[in-house]
Amino acid sequence: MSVFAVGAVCLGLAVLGVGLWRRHLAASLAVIALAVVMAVSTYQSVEARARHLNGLPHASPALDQAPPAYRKRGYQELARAAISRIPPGDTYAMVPVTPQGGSFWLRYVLAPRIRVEPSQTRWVLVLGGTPEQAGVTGTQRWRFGSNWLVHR
Amino acid sequence: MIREAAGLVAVNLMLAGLGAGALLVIGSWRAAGTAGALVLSPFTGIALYLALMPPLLYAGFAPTPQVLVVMTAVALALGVAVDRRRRQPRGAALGRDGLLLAAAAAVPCALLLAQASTKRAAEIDWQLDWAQKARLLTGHGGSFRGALDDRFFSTAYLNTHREYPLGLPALNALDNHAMGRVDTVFVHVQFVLVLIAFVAAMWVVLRPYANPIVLAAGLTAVAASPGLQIRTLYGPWDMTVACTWVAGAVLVGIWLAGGARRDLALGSVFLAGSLATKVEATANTGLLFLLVGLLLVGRRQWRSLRDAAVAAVAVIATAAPWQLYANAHDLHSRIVQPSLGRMIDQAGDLPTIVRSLTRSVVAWTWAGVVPLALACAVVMLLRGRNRELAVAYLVTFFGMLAALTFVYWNHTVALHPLLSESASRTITTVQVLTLVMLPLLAERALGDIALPRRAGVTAEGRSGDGPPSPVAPAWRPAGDGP
Repeated sequence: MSVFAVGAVCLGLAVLGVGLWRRHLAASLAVIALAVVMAVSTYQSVEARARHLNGLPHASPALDQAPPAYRKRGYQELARAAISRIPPGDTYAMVPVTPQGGSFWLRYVLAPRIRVEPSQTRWVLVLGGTPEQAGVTGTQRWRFGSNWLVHR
Repeated sequence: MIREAAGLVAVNLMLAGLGAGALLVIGSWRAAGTAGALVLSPFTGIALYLALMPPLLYAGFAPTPQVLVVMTAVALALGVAVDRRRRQPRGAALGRDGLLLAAAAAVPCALLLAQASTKRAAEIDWQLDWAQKARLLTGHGGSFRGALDDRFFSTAYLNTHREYPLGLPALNALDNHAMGRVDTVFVHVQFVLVLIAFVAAMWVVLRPYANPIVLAAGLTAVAASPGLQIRTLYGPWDMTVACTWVAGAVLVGIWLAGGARRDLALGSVFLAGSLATKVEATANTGLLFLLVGLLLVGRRQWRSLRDAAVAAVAVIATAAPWQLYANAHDLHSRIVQPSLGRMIDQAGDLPTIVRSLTRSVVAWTWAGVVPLALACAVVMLLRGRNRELAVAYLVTFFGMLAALTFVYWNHTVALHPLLSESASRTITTVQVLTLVMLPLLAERALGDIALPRRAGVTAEGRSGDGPPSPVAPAWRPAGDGP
C-alpha cells in the first residue's frame, strides 16, 4: 500500500477523531491513536522507495568514509593524516602518479583546506606512486599505502 | 544532538525574524494578520536569506549567525519604520481552522524530522557540490567577513557544479556555524524545516481561497507525499528550489487575481530565493514572467504590466551578481548549450525526451497526483467553473514541460544518462506546483462546497488598473462561478 494512501487514511482518521472529541472522548483518542500507529508503521517505506529513484546509484555509505574501493589503498589514513597536519585555512595539491580515482572524496573531506595547483602550496598529496615519481620534493613525507603526504 | 537542535532552532527563529521584517516592509504583515504573518515569516525569511546572502558573500561578508543577526535587526527596524506609516487596516485573524492542518500534518512532518535527524549524507551531489561548498564557506573567514575565496572556483574544483549559485551552501554554512561543527547528518533537519515552513506559508496564502478542510487535506498530502519526502531527504536542493519557485508562482497568480502589489512583491522574494538555489529555476522564472506579460498585454492592463516588469527586473537583479561572476570566471555548465543548429541536428531526440519527462511527471512516487489535477482542470473547463484558473494551471504546467523539453533538446552530453540522472529531479517543481494546486482544482471541479469568503482582500495596495481584475473570479470558490 502506498504511503500516500496510508497518509490519506491517517488524515481521515485524524479528522474523524477530532470530530468525535466532544462527544466520545475515548473513541476519539482511539481513532487518533490508530492514525498515529498507521503513520508510524509506514514512514520507513519512504526510505525503501528512495532506493528506486534515479541518481542514487552514486551513493556511498557516508561522505566521511572513503568509498569502499579506495579504503584498501590507504586513502582513509592519508586523509586522516592530512587533516591533522594541514591547518584548516591552508592549501594543498594532489598529484596522481597513476590513475587512482577518489580525488573527489579527498577534496571533500579535506575541505575547508583549499585545493590548488602544486606550485602554489607547501602540502602535496601524491597518489599511487612515490614523491620521486611525481617529481615532488619536500622536507618531510609520510607514506600511507601507495600514497604519500609531502610537506615542502 | 541537543546542541545541534538548539543551534538550528535559533537560526531558524532568526530567519523567521528576517522574514517578519520583510513582510512588514512589503505590507503583507498587516494583510495576513499577526498570526498569519507569524506563520508566513519562516519561509519568507529562508527565501530572503537564500537571495540576499550570496551578494553579501561577494561583498566579503560571512554566512554566520552574527551576520544574520544584523540582517534581521536591519529588516525588523526597516519593517517597523515602514509599517508605522501605513494606514492599511489589519487583515482578518487566521482563525482556529489552522489547527486542523497543524494536527493533520504533524504526524508526517514529525516522522520526517525523526528520519532526517539520523539521515547520513551519502549522495554524490553532497560531496561534489553542496556540502563541499558549505564546508569551504564555514571554514574560512571570521565572524563577519572573509568566507568566500576565488580559489573555490578554480579548475581544481571542476565537476563541482561551479555554475550553481551559493544560496543553499550559504544556508548550510549558517547551520554549520549554528550547530558548532560541520555536519552532514543533522543538517537534513534544516530541509524538513524548509518543507514545513513552505506548507505553513501555503496555508496562509491559499486559505482565503479554499475550504479549510480541503486545503488542510491537500497541504497534508504535500507534506506526506512520498515523492516530496524523498526529495527532502535525498535531494533537498531540488525540494528547496521547487518550494520557493512554486510559492513565488502562486503569489504572482494571486496578484493577477487580486491586484495587491504586496502579493507580487512577496512572490518576487520567493522567486529570487529559487534563483539563488539552483540554475534550473531560471527557465521556469523566465517562463512565468513571459506568461504574465502576455496575459497583461492581452488584457491591456498597462499599469499591472509595468508592475510585473519592475518585479521581473528586481528578481533578475538579485541573480545578476552571480551571473556576472560566473561569466567573468567562465563557470558555466557545458551540459546544455542552446542553438538552432543543435536543435535541428537533435530533433530525433524529442520523442525520447517527451517520453522520459512524461514518465517522470506521472511517476508512481507521486501517486497519480498529476493526472488527477489535469483531470480536475479539464472538468473545470467542461463544467465552466473558474475556467481561468484551469487554463492558468494547464498553460503553466505544459509551459514548464515545454521549457524542460527545450533544455534537454539542447544537450551536449549523452542524452540517456542525462535523462535517467536528472529528469525525475528537474520535474520536481512541476509536481510540487500540481500538489499545491490540487486542492483548489479539485474543490472547484468536483463540488459546490460552501466556502468562507476572503476577509483580507481589500482595495489597499492594489495596482490601480481600475475595476477589479477580470482574473479575480478564477480564484473565487466554485459557488461564485458562472
